[in-house]
Amino acid sequence: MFKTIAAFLISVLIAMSCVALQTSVSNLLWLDSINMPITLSVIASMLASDLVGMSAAGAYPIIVVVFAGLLIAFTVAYLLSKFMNTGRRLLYALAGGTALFAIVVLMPLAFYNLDLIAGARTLLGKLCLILGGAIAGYYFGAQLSGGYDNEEA
Amino acid sequence: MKKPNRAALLASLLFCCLFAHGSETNYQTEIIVEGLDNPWSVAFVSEREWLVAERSGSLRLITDGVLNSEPVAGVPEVLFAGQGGLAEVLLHPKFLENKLIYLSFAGTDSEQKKLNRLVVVRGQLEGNSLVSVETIFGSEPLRKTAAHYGARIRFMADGTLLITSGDGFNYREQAQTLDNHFGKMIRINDDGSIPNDNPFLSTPGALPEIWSYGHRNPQGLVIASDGTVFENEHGPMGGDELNIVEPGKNYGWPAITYGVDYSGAIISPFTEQAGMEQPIKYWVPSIAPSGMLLYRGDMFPEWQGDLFISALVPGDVRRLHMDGQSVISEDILWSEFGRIRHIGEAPDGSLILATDGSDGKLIRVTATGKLSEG
Repeated sequence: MFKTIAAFLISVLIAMSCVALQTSVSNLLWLDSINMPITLSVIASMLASDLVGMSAAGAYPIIVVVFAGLLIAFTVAYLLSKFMNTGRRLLYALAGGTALFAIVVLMPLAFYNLDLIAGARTLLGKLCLILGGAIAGYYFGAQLSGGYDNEEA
Repeated sequence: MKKPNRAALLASLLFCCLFAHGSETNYQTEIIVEGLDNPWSVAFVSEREWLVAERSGSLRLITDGVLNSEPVAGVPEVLFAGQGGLAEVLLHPKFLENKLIYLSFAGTDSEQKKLNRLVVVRGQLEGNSLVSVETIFGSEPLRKTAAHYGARIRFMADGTLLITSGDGFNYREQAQTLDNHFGKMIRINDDGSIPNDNPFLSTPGALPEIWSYGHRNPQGLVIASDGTVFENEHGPMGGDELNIVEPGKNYGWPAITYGVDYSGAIISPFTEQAGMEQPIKYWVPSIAPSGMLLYRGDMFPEWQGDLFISALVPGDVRRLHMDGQSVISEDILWSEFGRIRHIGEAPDGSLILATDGSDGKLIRVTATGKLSEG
């Protein structure tokens, strides 16, 4: 149980890191494109600030949204795994991707099409964030499998 | 016809806020109109007749303090969603001669129903009807979001019209390019044509109606008698700004900002950059500045030349004591009414506040006399 909880929390951090990283990179690329003075120290500072800021300092807690999204998605994946012979890594990767899909694609529909995660304003950005969710899910599935998929065990 | 609640008026007078501020004039507040649906702006046709634009789409006439139950007819359909809706109502400088009024609003595109834009129209006010309505500005490109319209309009001394156009929230980077209307101040003639002295007329790829750029969501606009253009705009989380806007200049958003994104992410690590203008004042945390007034009246002589900014968060009015183009001090006034959407000056010099929301009110601030020093 402890291992599962730890794996879940780490998967939340993985997804959150992907969200923060994608946001930082997209902002930095744009700033660089208009010749703002982007240096290594600016990049490092922004990456760290975004990870902390988006986890703890926003007007709305993205990490809570990611936590809730992954919790729901992984719970559904767990129930599905009882009836499906799909590998856990793949199943939880799909669940993680679906959770981020819901956050970056469906959530704006409730807010007059506002993309509250700035990095999600482009199709490429949305795909990156969904991929981040899939990576988080893959990690979680791998931990549950003890390093092996069901069919490999 | 909605009659004023005389008991409420009496009660508000009895419990009015009476403040002493150094040697300045005392004032009292009273609720003069209730039952407004998201009032956004007020225009004073005369001492007796006022027009109120409700964001939900109605233009309302108030005569001698009584709200006409029938909205003004002929107002175009608006997109009332998110932050969108009917915004500004403004009289033409020669209104007494031509009866022209100008409206700004969020409007759904006629062909692509999921998209919308900032629209400015003008029409003639005849009784309780708006006739001969014509569109004089529509922002490009269309947007899918219902936020950050700006939508404040003011006439300059030369008769041209300034329009604030917000960045549409999702399109902030476009505030730095001149091929669109996101995050811009627009200058057009009163009929919608382009003035021949706009700053980007000869800039390749630039829209000729652009007057300045790099704005976020400018909702306060004042033009002083000497021509100085004061503008206030909402920042993100922190970074609300008061700017003096000059033609052709770049006000930096989102390349430089004193705020961070609502998500907690850094929008830009920079607050200054060569070629980008600094605000004369900024607020961290945000006050969500909406309307703005440069007081010119006689009722409060001590306030002449000061800027008053209505603020939505936490809900008050900021009086900025000005020395020319510099802010000397800031006072917080009238924080007891909640979110204040608009502040205007009535013909008699009293101040009119419009509260935000579906139970909007107009509150009048009048002088009660002088206090002695100390």
